[in-house]
Amino acid sequence: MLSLLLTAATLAPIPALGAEDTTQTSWNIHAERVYTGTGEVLKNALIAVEDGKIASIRPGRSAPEGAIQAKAITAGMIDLSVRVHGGFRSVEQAREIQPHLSVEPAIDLYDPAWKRLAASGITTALLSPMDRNVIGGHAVVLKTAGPEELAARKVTTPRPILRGAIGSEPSSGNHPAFGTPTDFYSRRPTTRMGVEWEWRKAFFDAVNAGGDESRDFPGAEELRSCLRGERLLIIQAWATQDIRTAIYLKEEMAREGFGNLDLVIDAAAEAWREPDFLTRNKTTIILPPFPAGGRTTDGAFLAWNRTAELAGMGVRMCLSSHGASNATEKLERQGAYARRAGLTFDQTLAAVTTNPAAVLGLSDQLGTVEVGRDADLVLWSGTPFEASSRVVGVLVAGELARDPR
Amino acid sequence: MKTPLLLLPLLAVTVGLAEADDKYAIKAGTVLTMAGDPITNGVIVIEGGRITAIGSADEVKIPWDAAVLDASDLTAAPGFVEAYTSSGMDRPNENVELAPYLNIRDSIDPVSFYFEDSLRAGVTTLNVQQGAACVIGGMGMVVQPFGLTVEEMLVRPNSGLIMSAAPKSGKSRATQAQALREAFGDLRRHLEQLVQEKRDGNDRARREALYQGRDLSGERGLGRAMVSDAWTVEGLELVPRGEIDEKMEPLLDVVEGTTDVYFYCGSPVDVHQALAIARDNGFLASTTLVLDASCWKAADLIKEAGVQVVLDPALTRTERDPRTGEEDEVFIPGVFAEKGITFALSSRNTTNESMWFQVATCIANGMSVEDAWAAATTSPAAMLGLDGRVGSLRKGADGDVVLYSGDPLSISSHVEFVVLDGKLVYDRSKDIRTKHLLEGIQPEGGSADEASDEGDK
Amino acid sequence: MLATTTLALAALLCGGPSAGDSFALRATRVHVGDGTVLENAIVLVKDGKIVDVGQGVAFDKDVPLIEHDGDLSAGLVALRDYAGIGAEGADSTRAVMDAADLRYAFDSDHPDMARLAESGITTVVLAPGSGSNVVAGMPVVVKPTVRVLRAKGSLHVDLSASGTSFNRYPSSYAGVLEVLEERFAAGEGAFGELKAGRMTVMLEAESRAETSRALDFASRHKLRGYLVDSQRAGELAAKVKASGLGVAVGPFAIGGDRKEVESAVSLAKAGVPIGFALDTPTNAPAMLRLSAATAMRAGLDRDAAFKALTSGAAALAGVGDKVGAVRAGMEADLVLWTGDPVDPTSRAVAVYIDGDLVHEAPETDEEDED
Repeated sequence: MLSLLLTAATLAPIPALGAEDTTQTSWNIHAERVYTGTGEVLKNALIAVEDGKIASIRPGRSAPEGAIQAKAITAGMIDLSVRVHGGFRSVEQAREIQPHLSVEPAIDLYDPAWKRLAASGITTALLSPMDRNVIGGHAVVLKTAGPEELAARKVTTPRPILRGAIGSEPSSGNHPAFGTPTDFYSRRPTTRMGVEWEWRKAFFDAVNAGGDESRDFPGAEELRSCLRGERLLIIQAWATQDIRTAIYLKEEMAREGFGNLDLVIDAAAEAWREPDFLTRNKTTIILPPFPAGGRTTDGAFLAWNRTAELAGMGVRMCLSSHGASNATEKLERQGAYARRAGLTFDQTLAAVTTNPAAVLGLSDQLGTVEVGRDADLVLWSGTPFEASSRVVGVLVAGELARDPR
Repeated sequence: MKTPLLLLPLLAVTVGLAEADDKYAIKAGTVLTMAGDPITNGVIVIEGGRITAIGSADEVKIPWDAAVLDASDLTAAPGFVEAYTSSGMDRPNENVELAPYLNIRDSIDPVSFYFEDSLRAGVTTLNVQQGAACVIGGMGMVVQPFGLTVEEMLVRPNSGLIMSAAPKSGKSRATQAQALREAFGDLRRHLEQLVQEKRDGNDRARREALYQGRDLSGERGLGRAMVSDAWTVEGLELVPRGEIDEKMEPLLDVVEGTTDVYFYCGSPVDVHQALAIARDNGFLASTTLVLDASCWKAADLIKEAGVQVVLDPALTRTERDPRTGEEDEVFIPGVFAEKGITFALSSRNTTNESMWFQVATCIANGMSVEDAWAAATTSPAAMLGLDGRVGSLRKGADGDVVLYSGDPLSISSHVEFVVLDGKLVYDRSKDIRTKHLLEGIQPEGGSADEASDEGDK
Repeated sequence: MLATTTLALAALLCGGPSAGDSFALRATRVHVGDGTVLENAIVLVKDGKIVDVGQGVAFDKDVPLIEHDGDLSAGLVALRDYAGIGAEGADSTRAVMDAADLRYAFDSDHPDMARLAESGITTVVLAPGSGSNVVAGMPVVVKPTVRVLRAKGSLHVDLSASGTSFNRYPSSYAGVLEVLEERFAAGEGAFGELKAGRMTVMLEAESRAETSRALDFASRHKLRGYLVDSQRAGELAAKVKASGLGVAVGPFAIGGDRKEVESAVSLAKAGVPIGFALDTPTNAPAMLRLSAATAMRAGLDRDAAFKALTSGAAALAGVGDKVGAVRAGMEADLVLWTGDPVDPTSRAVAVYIDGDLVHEAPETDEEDED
């Protein structure tokens, strides 16, 4: 009886297409071109999605009746710098170093921004605490669509991801105590120097405490695990001086024999100024949205066309929208701007799919259109990242988050 | 703040480029004309600032004495036409709410970065109007984005008056509507008074006109009956036109339909108000609505009135259903296209809102390539009364040609050259500001800090 | 009607029924509280408690009988209120004020208290005000104008944004959870009582995300009690039901968000126990029954609404064994109404707390009602 049931289940046809049920996770999708992300472009391919995974990809087929159709398909985009959270409540500002906390309690899955992100083609997002202290805590990887339950949306990464910042933002709002301190802004750091000192002190203290309970502090173990390479460290640094500070920190830890930080630099607007800092350490960067006038946060200047130069030097880069959801800033447009800045199509596609997937350690699950991968797919009206085409459909783990029909 | 240091070197370059050749020929790999099929291996001949021949290299002979721009690997297209902008002035708004007697020519700043950026974005014709923070503002003019003086830039003077149905901040819509109606009421009373004075034998107006040194010769010294679809003042033929108050006369031209009106609407309710005022005062046929993005909701009203519109640079708008909380993205040009309303796109020169990007966005959202191009070329040209002169490449048109490195709408194409009236005015390879922005290369002798140009992009 | 007034006035003049005194009430309809309505039934009260309820209740002939041509029900219960507290209910000096006992902020003589009693509200949960506290104190259950009914029975825990501070730790959601987890781990004072199940929580959460987190938190620590401020909890009805927590819904302002009302109905339909928050002095006491009527208009059935106003709310407040129903053994908090208590057009004509007449409506002049 049991075997009979099983057979029946496997033989069960894919649910009728066109049904209104948005929780359906099995589909037939046909596209004139499928950019798999492995370097291949499949013509007239039919993708079968079953239970949220890609079950088969068959090129050279015509679209069967009822199939969802698109001009082009890419893997779902991954944004490593998304800011949909409780704002100031996403980070514990009362202290500088909080490696034991997480952004998780500040996540609001009911925020309409999620629907906007999903509709714009972002299927996976790394959500970080706001950069209003030095080490803000853990970032969380989430699917952008699905039930409003963290357990259902969270994507487990092989290594936890710790987030911090360098630059003027972590100390903004702080001031020295004058008279009677009335609030927690009466504290260090108030300058870049102070921020840098906090970083080094945190790691030195963590190493020196070395598991001695009397000297340990909350978060010390998390910092030590960063040094052991068991935790990924993402540091936000816009300006070249801050990028340098992050690299120096990594190099100092190695020199001291403390360990090897696996470092990713977010919002690396001025990475182009000193690319050798990145290449000599094989540091991955996340670019902020391309600014219209070149100028970004922290006074950093992003010279568009130097992006191609960085890519050419082999710097692994990811694009991000920083959570922007207005029509001209979203990630699909950042891809277009990267193309304008001189990145090749393949480099651009990688910067929003395979590169961020690799950063997360989820290359086996995300970032490409291959059998067995999550059915995170973006359907385009034409050539991806062109000004005259756009995202028309999105699947997140097989769920139709944006219906192209 | 503008930095003269940055500006001077560029001007030197661009002015140097403007050779005063009488005959100019452009060879382009592809020519998009907006007046028929694209031409492969095309030639455009410009003489005396106008296109005298256009066609394939086989058909068109280049005059022996013409300067030739060999752009065989580039794509030529007509420059984009900006149907309404209030950029490029030292200040867009006068601190007077009712000032139809002002003229934009006194306000345009020829060395504004805005015009430089327009060239970079392939815009060659712009209707510059006073800002909409007014009730009735001054007279606009059509210019090209190059020239050291306003006269050099001029394409067409007196393009129309600006009116606004949207209240200035701090004012109510009712006050704004009242002020608009009152302006026409005042005009009517003024004209009636002049007629009455003439009938009474009172020559106060004539003495005042003479005292102010106004021209009362020829046409100006003659009276003419008022012609309007809406209301007229009987006996106006008794009053020489030169005796009418200069501050009032531009409004009389509006009511008589000889001056075009650009009517700004900041919300759908403004559309209703603007149309009512235009209808009541007889200038509906010469009105172009300049719309905020929210005004798509008034599309039916606009269709019914039969007026043409200029759209906001923001082409999509996210609206939230107050009941369900669900968000919906509206593609605004799509709404107007579906209703068959003639519209022009407008832009802001930054990549993501530049005119080519606007056209591409329209195509991405399902408009046909032809319709999308028309909304940035031929449609605005017709609105400005420059049909056949700008917006398309054809015999007799102005010699304005933009040359792109590839398909003008492709994300990786750039404007390489701009030719205005048969003169090369922009060459990307010599554009130091673009180099600086894109390559991070400091201009020699330029500002040490890139922040100086931040406000202008 | 005239008889009622005369007798009751006489009683008042003599200082009310003294200890040991008995009296009987006969009403056209007696709303027992379990859904049944007894026609022409008698409620016998002795020593401030109900001793018998029914149609054929026998009592000594010297026990005064008050006849009421109308409805009788238990006094109403408001699940969160600030009557008479003023600024006494909020102390922002520390994030966790677990020992703050709202009993000491209860002012029985405050005019707000009399207004509650006049409206037939005989049990009120006084809650701490907003002082950006993670734990703002222990709410107290009181009988307006009379006495404390239950103190130290519950603890206010705030997982909403209002529990964070802008100028001291914790300033973040993560910090709030960190503080609470530390306190639960230490298990001292009220936290020990919560863990042992001897106290309940008044759990504050506003948005759906906060509510979802609060429910997870409650399940993790096996908390009992009810949610407050969670105006969209109905959209998570299944999860709320699974948590075993109740919800204080409302108050529903006229012209307020319909989603909040629909949320309350969804909760009730999912079988989640609900009661109404009132929040005087921000709202008038009449808002309690208006909220119930608003919910009924959105689909809440009449009996569920009545239960939420009486026994259901009493149970959530931890005093369900004492008040909220007209049953032998319950405290004699009784209200005589001109009609059905859930009908907002009916008025309380007489209100008894512990068998004492605390309010009697003046004789209505018909002409005044024009």
